[in-house]
Amino acid sequence: MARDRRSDDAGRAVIGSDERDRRWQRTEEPTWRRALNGIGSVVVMAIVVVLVGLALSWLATLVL
Amino acid sequence: MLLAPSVDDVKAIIRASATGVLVFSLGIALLAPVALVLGEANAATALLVGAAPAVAMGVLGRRIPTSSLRLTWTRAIVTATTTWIACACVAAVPLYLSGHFVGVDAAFFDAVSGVTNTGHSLVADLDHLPRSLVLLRSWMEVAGGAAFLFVGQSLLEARRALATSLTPGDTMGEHVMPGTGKGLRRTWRTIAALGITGVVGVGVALSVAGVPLASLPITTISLVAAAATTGGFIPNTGAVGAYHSVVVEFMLVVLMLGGATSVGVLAAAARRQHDRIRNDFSFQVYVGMLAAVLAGTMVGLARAGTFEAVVPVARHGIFSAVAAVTTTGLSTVAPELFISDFGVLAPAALVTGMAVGGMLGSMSGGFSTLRMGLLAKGVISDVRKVLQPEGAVSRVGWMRLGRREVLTDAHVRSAATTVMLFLIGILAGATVLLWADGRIALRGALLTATSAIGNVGLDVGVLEPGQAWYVTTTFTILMLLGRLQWLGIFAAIGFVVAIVQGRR
Repeated sequence: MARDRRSDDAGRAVIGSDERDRRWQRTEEPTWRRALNGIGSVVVMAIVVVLVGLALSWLATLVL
Repeated sequence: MLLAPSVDDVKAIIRASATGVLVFSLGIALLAPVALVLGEANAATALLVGAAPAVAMGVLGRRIPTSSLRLTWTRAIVTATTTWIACACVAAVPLYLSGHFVGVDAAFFDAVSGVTNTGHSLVADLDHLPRSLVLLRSWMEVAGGAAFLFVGQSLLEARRALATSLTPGDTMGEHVMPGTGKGLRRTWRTIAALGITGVVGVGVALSVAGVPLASLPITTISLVAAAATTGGFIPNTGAVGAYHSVVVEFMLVVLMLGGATSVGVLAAAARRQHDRIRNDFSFQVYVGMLAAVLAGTMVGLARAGTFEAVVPVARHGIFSAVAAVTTTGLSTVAPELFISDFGVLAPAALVTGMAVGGMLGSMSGGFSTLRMGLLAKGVISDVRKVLQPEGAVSRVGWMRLGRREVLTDAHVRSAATTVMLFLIGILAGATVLLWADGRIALRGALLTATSAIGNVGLDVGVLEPGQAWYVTTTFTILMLLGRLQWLGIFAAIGFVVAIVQGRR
């Protein structure tokens, strides 16, 4: 089993700030996963735009 | 007083431009075998006639010996300008030889429209344009978008400060080179992610919508390139609505939004740094603009009574608003309807969205949401100064992907200059159109001029084949000015003047 890279040669945990730890976890994600994260965010943005657009059009046609 | 550039400056610019032209021309040359497979021998010949001399010149240009390849700020700006124009000249050759353009100026107009990711076209009989030349149009969009991203990323990285203008005034570094490696990696990743997602998503959606298998690959590539690069060239006459597929339209909305979102924000999203994105000022203005244009379009459409039910208002309104803000210029209805049936408020909202455009550091055009936001911040800063006691120091700042920036007068001046130049361009373009044809309405002229300088490409039936040469020339220049953010063109002109008149 691959050694946990957050531990040193003797197996002791390398202690860092939470932020650094989170950053480490982020950078260790495989490329395909990061690409999915990026595309997923854009898809979510598009869904939000569509929902907001639907709500606005419904309101506009109702009021005017 | 202008200082004449050194011989090394000129050699370095030619060499760097030759690299860009070589890559672009090799892409065109590779389309020749595709044309042969498609049974388009004439198009294959036209592609080779255009690409072969450019490839040769690119190879020779890269062999020019220089003592320094350092890409200084001036060299980078002039290189970008000369590369864009040279690539448009190369692409204009096969387009003109296709016989689908009235004159050389019309072919060059389409080539500039392609490499600047605008999408205006003066092609005659698009439906019978050889399929390999439809692919050439897509290649122009991809190459132009990638180059724009690359230049933007390299400059941003090299400056390590916000590039609100192309002037090196606020830079920390004098040289652009240190940023090119990271810029290239980010550009490649963004283009690949958007391209793969688009080809799969749009391809499946189009096949479900009933597009014949024979034309599916080229239609897919063409639509994906048009949406993801914000280029806007469509493969056939007619609008996206002709596919009668909500899924196709949704996929194009996803790609358009991706193309107009800055690479930095996309990279932060890939690393799930959502807090940074939420706090990013440019992104906040981008979202605000999208919401404002959506609201304006919906209210305008409802008020004009263009559509009777809620669903058509939402469907056409959402797509039009996203296409405007992302400066893609695609539409779900015949574009002429924007003038004849959309009333006044909806086109006004769309024109505002087109002028502002997407995020700085993306492939979209316009003067960018960041400059819009900085201008607003500048007004807030001035109001604060008035309200505070004399001698009080007021600092206005904003967040850029987790880093706090402080607003300076240089930022506001730079943003104001760009916005003012854009407005001058819009007025100049509209004036030329109104002069050329008295039947064109002011609204149509303003919309078309904004569309050209904002690199949008939404044609409302004003720019058509057979236009007067001075109209095509003016709009060709406007598209270049918009993409190179004015100062790039000014720097290139200044460089030529300095060669002739500068002090040695």
